[in-house]
Amino acid sequence: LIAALMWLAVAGVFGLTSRTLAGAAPSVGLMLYLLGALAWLFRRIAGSLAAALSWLMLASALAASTPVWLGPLIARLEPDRGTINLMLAGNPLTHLAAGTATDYLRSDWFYRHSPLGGLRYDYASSATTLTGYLAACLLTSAAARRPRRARRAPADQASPRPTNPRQENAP
Amino acid sequence: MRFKHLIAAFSLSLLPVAGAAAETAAPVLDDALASKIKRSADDGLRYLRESQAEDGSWSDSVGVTALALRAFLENRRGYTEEDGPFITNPVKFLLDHVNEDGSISETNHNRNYNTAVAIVALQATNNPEYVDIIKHAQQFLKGLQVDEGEGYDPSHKYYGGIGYGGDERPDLSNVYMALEALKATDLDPEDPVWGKALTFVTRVQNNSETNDLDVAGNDGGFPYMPGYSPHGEAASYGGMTSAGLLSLLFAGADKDDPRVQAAYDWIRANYTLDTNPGAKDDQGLFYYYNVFAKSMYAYGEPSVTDAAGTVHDWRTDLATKLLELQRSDGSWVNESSKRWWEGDPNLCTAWSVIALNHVIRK
Repeated sequence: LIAALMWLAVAGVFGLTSRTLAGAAPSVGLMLYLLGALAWLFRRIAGSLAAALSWLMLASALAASTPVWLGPLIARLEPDRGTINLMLAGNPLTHLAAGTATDYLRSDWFYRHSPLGGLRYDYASSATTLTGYLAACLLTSAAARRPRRARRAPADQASPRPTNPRQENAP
Repeated sequence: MRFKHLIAAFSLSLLPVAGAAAETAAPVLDDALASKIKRSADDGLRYLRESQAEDGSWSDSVGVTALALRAFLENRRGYTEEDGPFITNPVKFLLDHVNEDGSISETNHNRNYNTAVAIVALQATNNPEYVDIIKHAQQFLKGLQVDEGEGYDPSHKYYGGIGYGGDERPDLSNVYMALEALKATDLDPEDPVWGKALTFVTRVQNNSETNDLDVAGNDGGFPYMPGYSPHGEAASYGGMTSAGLLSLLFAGADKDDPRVQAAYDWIRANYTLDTNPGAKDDQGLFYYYNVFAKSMYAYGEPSVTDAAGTVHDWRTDLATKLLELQRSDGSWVNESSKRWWEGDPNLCTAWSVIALNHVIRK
């Protein structure tokens, strides 16, 4: 809910029209779901919500800013168009921009800070990114919901395997 | 002593005559060089015919296809649609990409550029069947201009500009492409689009005399956007300065206009065809050759006198450089940088042939 409110605030700041908002709604919805699922997964791994959110923010920032930190290397290596398109397809901004037909690499800020806007590229279609993110949501949800694997009991231990995961970790 | 004074007086009396002669002289190319240029353009066009896709397109792009088509249609051989599928198929490819909003593009993020070069090519066919498509595309290009319709006040630095079409971030390159298209397709000279564009172009120029923004440089040249150049800060460079000069002329400024004079003075001070002056690593080199040829042709001077006083015949210099860079298969490509698509030989070849067409055009 907080993330959705933040999105609406961003939309207000950038003056996005209701039509643009409607076009972006499926992408934003899937993105918010994926972020929630990742937060849940990271929490299980990190052990605390604060650490999980830190990981999530770092991962999101790194993924969204690939044109800035990876762009110069790509521009220098001059790979084929497919490689550039693949990198862009993995960027969450491509997913968000696909629904609104926004060319974010040529936006003022990105054009000044990334050389990718001067290369030939194609964004993945809205249908492709929606499919990809739907798959990512399902996989992440499954991973987050998957019960922790119980520690194997010693072969000579007669006691039954604990059913409560907390009990398993108890000293 | 007296004799020396006489000689000096005689020499000085000749100077204005020589200057006037230089200003009005018709382009004269050495016969041997003229033959080489024609053969070079033919070789370039032959390369393009061999690299053309079955559907008539080049590089799977409306923009590259339109430029290659233009290279044929504006060539001295006078190709027309009657010459066969190598002309009619690319025309059909362009027409197949006409969208409901009037744009002509295969993507949503190069719509200005693609539409602009497409209507220049369609206009060059002289086929009246395309008039409505061209008119609709003109309206589309005009609609991309950043103005009151998008909530921009005339005092805003982006006012009057045109961008790629996927955002509202305008730049001089896209403005020049759009203005060239609107000019080539005979848009009404009284249309407000010209005045608004002139406002934007003036604000891109590094010229404190005429630019009401705080400009980083003051050398008369042009960067890419107001206060920004991909080659560092707001550095002026050759490609954009020629594009700026051409845009000023298209938008109605005359040769005596201080903005035009400042741009031309930058070209004189930085005259070279060995590189794209002011640009990093030869980025945008063939874009520079193409727009340099068009801007010098539009400016109408047969020679450029650089800051040291050396007179350069720009046609000879440009043709010699392009002949030197042409590959054995007839193509050109930027070997130093792929930026701005210059790793694509179809694009560089189309630009080079168009430049050569301007070199030999009367």
